[in-house]
Amino acid sequence: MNNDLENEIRALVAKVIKKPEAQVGLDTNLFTDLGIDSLLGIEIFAALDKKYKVDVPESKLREVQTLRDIIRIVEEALKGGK
Amino acid sequence: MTEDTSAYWRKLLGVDGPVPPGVANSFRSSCSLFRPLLFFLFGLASRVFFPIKAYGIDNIPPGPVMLTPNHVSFLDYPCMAYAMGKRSWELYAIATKKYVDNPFSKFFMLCAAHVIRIDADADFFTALRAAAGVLRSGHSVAIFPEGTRSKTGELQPFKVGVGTLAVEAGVKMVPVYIKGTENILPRGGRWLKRGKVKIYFGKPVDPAPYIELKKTTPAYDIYKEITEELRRRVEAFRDSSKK
Repeated sequence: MNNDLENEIRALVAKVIKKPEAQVGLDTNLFTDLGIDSLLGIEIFAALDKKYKVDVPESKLREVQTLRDIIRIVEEALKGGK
Repeated sequence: MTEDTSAYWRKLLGVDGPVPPGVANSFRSSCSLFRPLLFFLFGLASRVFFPIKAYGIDNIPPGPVMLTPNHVSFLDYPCMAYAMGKRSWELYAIATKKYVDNPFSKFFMLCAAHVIRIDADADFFTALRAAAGVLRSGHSVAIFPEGTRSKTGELQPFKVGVGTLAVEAGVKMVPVYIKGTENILPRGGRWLKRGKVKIYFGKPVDPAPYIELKKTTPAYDIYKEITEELRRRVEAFRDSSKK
């Protein structure tokens, strides 16, 4: 996992969900631990789409629970993988 | 740099291209032929058991709108639709899969409205896309912003998807407050009790000023703000109806 990318995405996620970066651990569950709703989860991908031009399909959104999941999906998308 | 993140949402909702042909017709059922009869019989029953009085019906503007009532009883939709008269005959309604998949309730739902089935866990955006398509093709849609019937009778938080739909489909939301159905057929109740129903139709919430905010504000924050404004309007009816 690319550390720069991890830090960038953590900062972006923290900004979108309006929580301190320190609360957004790699395996922190965004929904159950941080209490975000599913549409705020979509907003994370809207912000990622804007920043990295990654077009994450709707089916992938349901796989996401943690920052680690998000980073994996973004890495795959940046590599052009599915 | 602009904060506008709505492009992704618009893609998920399918609102950038032309309206898919036949999207509205795909939710019509032959059961709708029974609609005038159903509402005639419903009207007779309501006169005997639960007279309905509607206020502010003229606040519903012409053209496609979202009607957004509070939800405490299975009677909410038919009471609201009955109060709207013939205009409700062309109304679409978003309904949860639990009731659309049940053959008994499905029949009555399809008689009462053109039903858009929603499965919030599996295909949430499929339903929102469908609703956006129906609105963009010029039809009105009823949606319960609380998502489900209130267990306590109190107004619950509103789902942000309602505001998302209003902003991205560009349609006004009419706040609706229904009072009295919680006593006539409460959640868990099996038999109708006598009572009175009052339905308040408020002035619509216009998405235009919220659409303007996109330049400076992340999309979700805008959707949330318009949803909260809608709830405040319904809440105001609730508070004033207690006096």
